[in-house]
Amino acid sequence: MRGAGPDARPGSGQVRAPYGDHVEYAIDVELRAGLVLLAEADLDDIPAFRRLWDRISQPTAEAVLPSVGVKDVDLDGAGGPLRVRLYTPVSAVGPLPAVLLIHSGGFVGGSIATVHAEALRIADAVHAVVVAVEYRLAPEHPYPAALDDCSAALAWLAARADELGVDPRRIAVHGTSAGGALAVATALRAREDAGPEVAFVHLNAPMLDDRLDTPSMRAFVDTPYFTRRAAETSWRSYLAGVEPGSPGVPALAAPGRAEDLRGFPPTYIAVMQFDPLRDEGLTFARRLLDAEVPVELHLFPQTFHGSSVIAHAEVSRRESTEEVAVLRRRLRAAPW
Amino acid sequence: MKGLLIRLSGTDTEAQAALRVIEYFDALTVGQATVEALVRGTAALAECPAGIGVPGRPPLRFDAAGERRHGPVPEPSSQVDLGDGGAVWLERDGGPGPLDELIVERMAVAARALLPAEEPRTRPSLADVALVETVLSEREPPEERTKALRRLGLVPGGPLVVIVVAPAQPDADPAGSAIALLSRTRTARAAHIAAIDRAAAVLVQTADRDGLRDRLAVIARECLGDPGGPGAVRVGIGRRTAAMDAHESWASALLALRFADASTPEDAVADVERLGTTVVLAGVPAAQWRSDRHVQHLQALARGRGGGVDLEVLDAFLRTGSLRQAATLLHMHHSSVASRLARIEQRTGWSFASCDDVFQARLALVGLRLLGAEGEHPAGPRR
Repeated sequence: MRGAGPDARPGSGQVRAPYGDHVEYAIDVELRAGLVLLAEADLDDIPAFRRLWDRISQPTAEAVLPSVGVKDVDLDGAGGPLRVRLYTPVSAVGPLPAVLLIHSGGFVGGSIATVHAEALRIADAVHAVVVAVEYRLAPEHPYPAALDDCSAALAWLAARADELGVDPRRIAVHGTSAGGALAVATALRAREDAGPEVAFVHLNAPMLDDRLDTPSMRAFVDTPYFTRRAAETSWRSYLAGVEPGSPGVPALAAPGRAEDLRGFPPTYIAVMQFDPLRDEGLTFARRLLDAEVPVELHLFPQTFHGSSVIAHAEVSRRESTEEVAVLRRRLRAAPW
Repeated sequence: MKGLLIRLSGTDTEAQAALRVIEYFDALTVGQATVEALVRGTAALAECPAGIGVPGRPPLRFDAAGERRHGPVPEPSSQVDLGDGGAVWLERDGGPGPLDELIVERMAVAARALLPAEEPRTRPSLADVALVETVLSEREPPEERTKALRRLGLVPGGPLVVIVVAPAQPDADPAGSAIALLSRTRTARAAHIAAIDRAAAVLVQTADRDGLRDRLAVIARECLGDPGGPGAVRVGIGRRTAAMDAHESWASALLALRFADASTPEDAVADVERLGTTVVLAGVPAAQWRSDRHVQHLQALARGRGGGVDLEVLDAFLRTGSLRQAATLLHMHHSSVASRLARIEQRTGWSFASCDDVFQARLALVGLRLLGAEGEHPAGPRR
């Protein structure tokens, strides 16, 4: 690699200078360097976005952990067969808690493959059964398709708990980013329908409110990796072309609009500092507190949306360590 | 959304991957990462364990997931010595990967920059003039500029702001003035200063250009009355550029300097970015300004009795747009300001109720200032 000196530039596809963009946000230095390794994710071209993510996920999509058994199952969903992937710790003794894992992707992308490594890690570290859901994506399948799929997966998990070695009273729903909206909506619907008991909700940088009217959403138009524009595109796709913020968007689509949060399951929310979605997470935590719901909230400093993908950074390690600790505690995971 | 982390072993061409490696270590260096973060970050980038050894300390090693590694150190797959008995290395099974040589070399460069070898220099200091001149030269080959930057302790891959400091007194020492000025800014990063012609070039590698500019403006104002300080100075702040493009920042700093006026505290520090489009006026030949009748009116005004104060009043009024605010700025009674403005209107034929005339007046003042370096605008502090 001699000759690739500081002035070298590739023929096309300029790599961003580390000091050029985003220098006004005081991002953690390890994450700042990691940004150099993040692909540009442009939601304006959804097929390209999906292809890019699949390609990037390939190396980890086939990962194997000897301590976790993996099995794909097809359920009867509202829109036809619904694929879920079941992760079961091999050394399970007695019923385990379970985590319904709802991936991110702005409602329009992401898949079981993109959360496979995360599911393995959670199953192993928490010692829980993990169920990852291949929910239908917008814009081809707008609201309520994805929510119906997540609800169906939850119902299946609760109904088959014995068979799956799961304790139905210790099922958590875990959602990241757009998956956070789906996780909250799934829990809201379960509360409304007196459906399966959700013991705990774990949210990471959740996208909750199509009204896009918080200070962070207004200010952070050009934060790394996720901008206001990305939020608009996600909501518009999920809401079948209805303008984000329109009147009449139901709370089950945009759970930030839910008025009554009493009886909502205990919840953990992680928010990232330089994330347009930050304040809707903070607001939801506050409203849960006001509704006397047990809440744990952590704003991770100098982070941006999705920065935990830069997993080796100290702040990302704190995020994932805390994630495991919180899930273990709330799900009363066994010591072995 | 999460998950779009490119692995070096994955999707890029070799050239693209090499560029990412360089940018990655530049980011760690410019961001002043800790040594731990450097080693951890290297292991994650390389996707294999990395380590650093420093004389007198146990080896510090991390794996690609960011966990500390302990126990006996295996034979490294790649290693670079840091020159002081220290070394950095990678521990890859099966021998070095295609990018490892670059990775470990860049890790070493970063380590030398980030290891706390001595008290970090946060005070501005006199730099080797030859090194500064090399950095500011457009014609020097990139390798020479890179070496000069490194020897000055600056990061070649980072940003740079060049500031030029010109004392108003012709026999004052420009470098001394610059040091006095910069040391009062309590800049977090070191400033490297060298006298070039009758001004001092200051190289600062900082992410907070705006904050530095604001502090310089405050200090330049305070310095006017401070006998122990640098005295009246003019300061031009250049654009932030890549360190390798420092000549552009220097050129823009010199351009800004032409708009700086030591006699007016507000104008002692000129920022090329704040000046905006005004800088195009620097391209107007002096002869053209001199032959302009509005500029001539102002020169006549300046030569008259109390003319210096008249110009200050005019400047303050045009700057604030309000009689009362100008009076506050000047610590004068508003009726004194009003009567001076009336006299100026009489002498120049301008009516300050007219937007066109106000624009002409501002333009003429800029022209006067640009001519000022040739001594036609009274120099020295008045307040």
